[in-house]
Amino acid sequence: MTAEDQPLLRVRGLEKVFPVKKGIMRRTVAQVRAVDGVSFDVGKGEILGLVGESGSGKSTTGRLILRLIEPTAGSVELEGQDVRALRGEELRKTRRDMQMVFQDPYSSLDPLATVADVVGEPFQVHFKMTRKERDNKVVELLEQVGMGSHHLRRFPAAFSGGQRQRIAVARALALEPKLIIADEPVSALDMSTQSQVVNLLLDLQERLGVAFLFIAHDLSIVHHASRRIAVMYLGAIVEVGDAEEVYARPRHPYSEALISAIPVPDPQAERDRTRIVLKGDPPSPLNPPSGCRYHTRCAYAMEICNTVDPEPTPTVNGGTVSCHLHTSGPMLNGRPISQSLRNTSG
Amino acid sequence: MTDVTPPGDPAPLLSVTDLSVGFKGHTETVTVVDHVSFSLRAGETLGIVGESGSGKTVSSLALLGLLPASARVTGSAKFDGRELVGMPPRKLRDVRGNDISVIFQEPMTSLDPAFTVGNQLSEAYRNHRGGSRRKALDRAAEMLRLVGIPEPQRRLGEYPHSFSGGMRQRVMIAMALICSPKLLIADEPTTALDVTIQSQILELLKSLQAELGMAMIFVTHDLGVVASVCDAVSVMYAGQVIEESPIDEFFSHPLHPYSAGLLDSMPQSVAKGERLRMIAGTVPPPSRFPVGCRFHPRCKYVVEACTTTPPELDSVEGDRKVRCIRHAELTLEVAK
Repeated sequence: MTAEDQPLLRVRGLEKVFPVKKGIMRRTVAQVRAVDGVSFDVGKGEILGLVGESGSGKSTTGRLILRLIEPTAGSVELEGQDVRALRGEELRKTRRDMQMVFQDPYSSLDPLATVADVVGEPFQVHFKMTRKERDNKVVELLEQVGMGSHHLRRFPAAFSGGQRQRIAVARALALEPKLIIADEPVSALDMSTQSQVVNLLLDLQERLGVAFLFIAHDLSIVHHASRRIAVMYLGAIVEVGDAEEVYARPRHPYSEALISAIPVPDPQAERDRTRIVLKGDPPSPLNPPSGCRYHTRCAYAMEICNTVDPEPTPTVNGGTVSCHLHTSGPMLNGRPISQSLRNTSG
Repeated sequence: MTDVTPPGDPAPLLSVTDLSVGFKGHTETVTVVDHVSFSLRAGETLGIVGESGSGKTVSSLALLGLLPASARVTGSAKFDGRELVGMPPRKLRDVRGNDISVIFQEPMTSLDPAFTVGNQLSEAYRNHRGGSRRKALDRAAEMLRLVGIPEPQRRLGEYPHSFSGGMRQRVMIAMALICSPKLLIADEPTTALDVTIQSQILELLKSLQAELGMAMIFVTHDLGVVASVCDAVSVMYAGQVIEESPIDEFFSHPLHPYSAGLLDSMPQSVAKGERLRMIAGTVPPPSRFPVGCRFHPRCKYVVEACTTTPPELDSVEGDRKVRCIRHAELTLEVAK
């Protein structure tokens, strides 16, 4: 593989097992496989959307990549360099290239630190800059995210949610990272400010060529902002593909149900459509189902789904899907779940 | 008032007129809900939409007398012939949970972790209807079955911690409906839930409403949810109602620039990859509501008069209302 087509981020077989401890002796009584063999790539300057419901392991995946928590198994490569093998100073250097924006801008900013402190801290940590140099840098960054230099000496309490999230983005940009992991960056914001922050991320990607791993549960926003989407369910990626393809012609029954559950702002369309209402709750990750992890809630489940975990299969549009419908039974072979299949298994 | 049904029909179930809520601060009283009026008839669903700080939750809590003692509530809220504003707390307790019920956003914190689900459900019933414990538990089991919880008899003996988020919200709905209320107020009932669970709960509420014939007030910030469950919508901004409409008209041609801005900022209204449309600026806090039209600093269509004269809520097209001095000359397009 040449350096040209090498992806920016390469994640293979990533796993995280959390022990469940009980009693005075804190003995491990069970294990939760929060992330169970996740593999994907993020290209240079690409926005990859990672969607799933609570408990699907999407946020854990983001944290594992940055090694904010240590993976149990698997590999994470940034530009060919194995992030898991790094120690000390080398790890710190690599972390400049990968930054994070958290969900809640009300708790991710220190209430006692001014904007200059919050955004300028990375310069002090990594480059030992003087205060004046730092302030100049901070003003530049604030301009990048559409905020004026008069905010420099203000505290987070003086800002609205949208402005706080801009400050958090400015801090993430400080060290000119190649990848920003944004974990639910807009879900704590009001609807009229959500689009401001989404547009900011799109601008930065275009202007600075930063790649994003955009983690969110809101598929309509992820679909809009991302080039490709990966759908997670119970610790595993069940489908990856071109955002438009996954959204318009999902290959996995779970993606189909997830997309169908989004209410659209059009009363007539809401009356007309048949919504797929999933049965039951997601199973506990403590005790995941055998075979395909989705089979307990799947409308199309077959015999084989109870016993065999499906392998990722290529779809006709260059994505992959992990579902037996594509290899056994109706043999979709990577084509979308068709209307006829939906009718027969009703 | 939002009249969805033609005039001549029976009187509305709930009719709120000029409801205002103020909180006493250190130096001044801050008005967070300012002369809000709306009404709804039996079996109807009204959506109250707004961003945080718009006063949508405070308005609904004021109806139920659930605001802290520091709140000053004025105006009128007539429910089924009775005036709710200023009703003595003991009388209001008879209405609340009986004729009017409420479900909140957080199913995790709305149930008492120290009592079984059966205990909490049957208490809600016996407080209003009396009767034996046995009878109340039977009713509780029937309600759990109605909201789609499997094995209701067994689950009655369990504590809230053994229910998932979606299941807890079902328990809350069962508790709210156990006395067959005429009106259910749902304050962001699905916001804390995952989308697939949200769609289960919305379908459940719709089918229960059809079965039991109750009216609903849906307080939400999600326009998709409004489109899927409501008959009419009332949009609030900075403590005031700025538009009221039946939903089809609202979504096809909103009358207020703020409504249009909200609809326009949804990802569905632009092509993929394009920048989302947005409303500049942020919602002002109640202590700093602008003079004139409260939306004018963020409005694309602002003219001189908007900055000085507070607009009235005008009736237009029969059953719609809008608070904007330029509504007659503006044609607001919403991209599909």
